[in-house]
Amino acid sequence: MRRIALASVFACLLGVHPAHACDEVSDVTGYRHCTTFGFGWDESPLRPVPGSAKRNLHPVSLPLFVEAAAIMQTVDAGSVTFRDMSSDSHSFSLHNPGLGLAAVYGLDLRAGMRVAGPFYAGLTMRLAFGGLPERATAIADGARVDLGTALGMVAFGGYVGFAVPVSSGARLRFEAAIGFEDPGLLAISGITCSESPCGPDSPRAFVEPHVVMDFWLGRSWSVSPFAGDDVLHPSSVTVGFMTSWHWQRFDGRP
Amino acid sequence: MVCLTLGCGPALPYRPGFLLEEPVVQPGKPLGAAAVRRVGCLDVRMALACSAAVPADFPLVAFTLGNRCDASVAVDFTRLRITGQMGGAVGDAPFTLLLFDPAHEVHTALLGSRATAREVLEYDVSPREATHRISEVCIDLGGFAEGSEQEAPVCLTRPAHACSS
Repeated sequence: MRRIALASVFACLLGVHPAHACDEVSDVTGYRHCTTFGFGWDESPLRPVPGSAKRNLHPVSLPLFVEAAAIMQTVDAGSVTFRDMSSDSHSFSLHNPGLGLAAVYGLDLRAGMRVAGPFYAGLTMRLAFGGLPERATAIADGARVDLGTALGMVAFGGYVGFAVPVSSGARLRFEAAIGFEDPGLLAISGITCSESPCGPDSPRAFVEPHVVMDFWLGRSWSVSPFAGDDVLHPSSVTVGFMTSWHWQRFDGRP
Repeated sequence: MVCLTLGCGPALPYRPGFLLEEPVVQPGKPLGAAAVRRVGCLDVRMALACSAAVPADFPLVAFTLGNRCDASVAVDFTRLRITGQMGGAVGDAPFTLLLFDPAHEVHTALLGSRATAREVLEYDVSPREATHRISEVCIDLGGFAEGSEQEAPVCLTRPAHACSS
C-alpha cells in the first residue's frame, strides 16, 4: 500500500497520465492509438513514434530510490572546539584533546536517482547520538561549565557515485558524500546553550567516500552494508547497514 | 485470461514457470494454436490471435512474456525469424513473414525482474493477398533474448478462416 501511495505521489508530481485517457481500438502493434510498443513493460524505455502525437510517451517509472541506514560513526571529540553561551550568558569554549574518540549511532536518510548509465546522485542527512568517554567541562569567566557526556551529530549533504554489477543479485557502489556536519554536546548539565546542541562555531565540512555492497532482495528492495571514511577528518569512520527501495526495478540497470 | 491472471501490472511479480504451465489447448481454439517455450530468463507463450481491428486473413501472434529472473532482460522482437507455410501446398518451402510495423515502433525493450508483458504482432507476406493461405506460422526464438539457444522453431497451426466468426 505504501508503494502504491508513493508511486501515485510520484506520478502526480511527474505528470504521468493514465493510459485510459485515450480509447484504445486494438492491442495489435501498428493499430494502437493510445500507447506504443513496450508500454506497460515496467522498465521499457518508450521511444517516440514519428508522426504519432497521440501516443503516450511518458516513462512508466524513473530510477529513483530512497534509503535508510543504521550507522555508527566515530567522532574525534578531542579535535572539536565546542563553543557557545552558558545559561548566564557567559561564553565558553571547550577544546579538550582528552575527550578522545567517541562513537555516535543513528540514522542516515537518503534519496537519490540514477542519472546516466551507472552514475547516480542524491541527498543525504544524518542524525546520530553517542557518548563521550569522559565528562566535558569548560571554564566560562572563572566558572566551571559541565557539558555532560552525550554527543550528537547532525549532517546534511549530497552524494555522487557509480554502481558496478557483481552478479545478478549484487552490485558494488562507489560514492563520495560531501556536505556539512555539526557535532555537538547534548544533555548539558547546569547550562543551557543558545543553540542546541552546544556545537562548534559553524558546521564543519566532510568528504566521505563510501563503498556500498548492494544485495537485491527482490525487484525493488535491496540491503547494503557500507563503510566510509571522512578524508577531511580521517578519524571519522562510518559503517552502516542500509535498506533501499527502488522505484524502478534495479534502478533500470541490472 | 493469461493477462488477467498475471495481473498485467507491475504490482504482481511473475511466478517463474507460470506461463509454461498454462494449457496450450484452449476451448474454442484449434490444436496447435498456442505454444510455450523457455528462452533464457523468459517464459514465452505464443498464440495465434484475432482482432476486430485487423482483417481476419492477416496472422496475428500474441506474445506473453514472463521474466523469471531477478534481473532485467533485453527482449528484441525484431530478431525473431518468422516463417509461414502455405496450406494445400505440400512440399512448398517455407517463406519468411514480415513484421507489420508501419510506425517503426518495435524496438529492443527491457523487461524488468519478475515482470510480465504482452504484445500482439501482425506478420505478413508479400503479396498480402496470400496471407489467407498461411496454414502454419513458425517462430524461431534464437536471438530473441539473452540466453537464447538455437532450437527448433515453434510452429503454430492456423486453420483456414481462423478468425472468421
